[in-house]
Amino acid sequence: MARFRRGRGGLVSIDLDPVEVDVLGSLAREVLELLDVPLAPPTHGLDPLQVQLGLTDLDPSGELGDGPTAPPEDEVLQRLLPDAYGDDPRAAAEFRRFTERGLRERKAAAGRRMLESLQPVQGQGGRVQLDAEGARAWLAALNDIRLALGTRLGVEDDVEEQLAGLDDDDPRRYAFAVYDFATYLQETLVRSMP
Amino acid sequence: MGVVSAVVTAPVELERPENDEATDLQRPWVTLVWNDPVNLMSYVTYVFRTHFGYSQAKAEALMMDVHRKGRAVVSSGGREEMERDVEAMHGYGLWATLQRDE
Repeated sequence: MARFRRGRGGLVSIDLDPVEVDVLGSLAREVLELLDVPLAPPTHGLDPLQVQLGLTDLDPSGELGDGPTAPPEDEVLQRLLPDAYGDDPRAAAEFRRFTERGLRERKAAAGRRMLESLQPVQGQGGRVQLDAEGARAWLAALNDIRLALGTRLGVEDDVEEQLAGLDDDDPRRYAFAVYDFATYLQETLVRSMP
Repeated sequence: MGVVSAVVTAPVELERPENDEATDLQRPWVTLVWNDPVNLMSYVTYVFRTHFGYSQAKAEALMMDVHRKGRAVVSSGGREEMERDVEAMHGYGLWATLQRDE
């Protein structure tokens, strides 16, 4: 099975076969679709220097303070975008109003970064090399993919045991195998982090 | 929780005020990270090291606390500071909340 390795010059790399590239690409796209973030993040009316310096919180258009206040209905999105206050619904709603859009954007950016680095090996497979920033994006994107799959599958502490309890023709077997693959990739990536 | 004392960042006070409210203003909020079956132990440790700058040993101890006790206090400070920590934890995919220190 493909695994991440730390290479020269602070790069991490992985050799993926065409099927693995395909699987990772569709998982990343599924999470992106779920996050429902416009492909080009809106930067209109913002000073490019502000954007570059990460000062977009100044938010002259007032858009950022106008996000959703209620948790998403989808169980996966609830896990990706959880309440910040467990015991104070009003504070949780207010926090969400100011932060949820930004959180979606950051998660989507990591997913897009993952898709970009898969693009050159699409179809034939090959080596993907990541610098520190790319590796961080992959780590976050792989984690979101695993959270999404894990939530849908109802993953518990002992995944092996759950898998052993499934019938041979249970359609969830494939999803568990994919989850296992993503877990292995993330585990080897954490250990290879520059 | 035993980990709280290890993550104090507020300046040390020589005389503790009797008044609870005054102490509350000093350091009234905490960030909690909750256990979940998906996040890898190695990844959670990595996040604690990277975001909070904790040593490997401290990050691992906190991760084990989350794993065994179901949750752990990973940072404490002012409310806005804890909101930033929680937002960052959500960015990493960890399940985190903030609340007043108990």
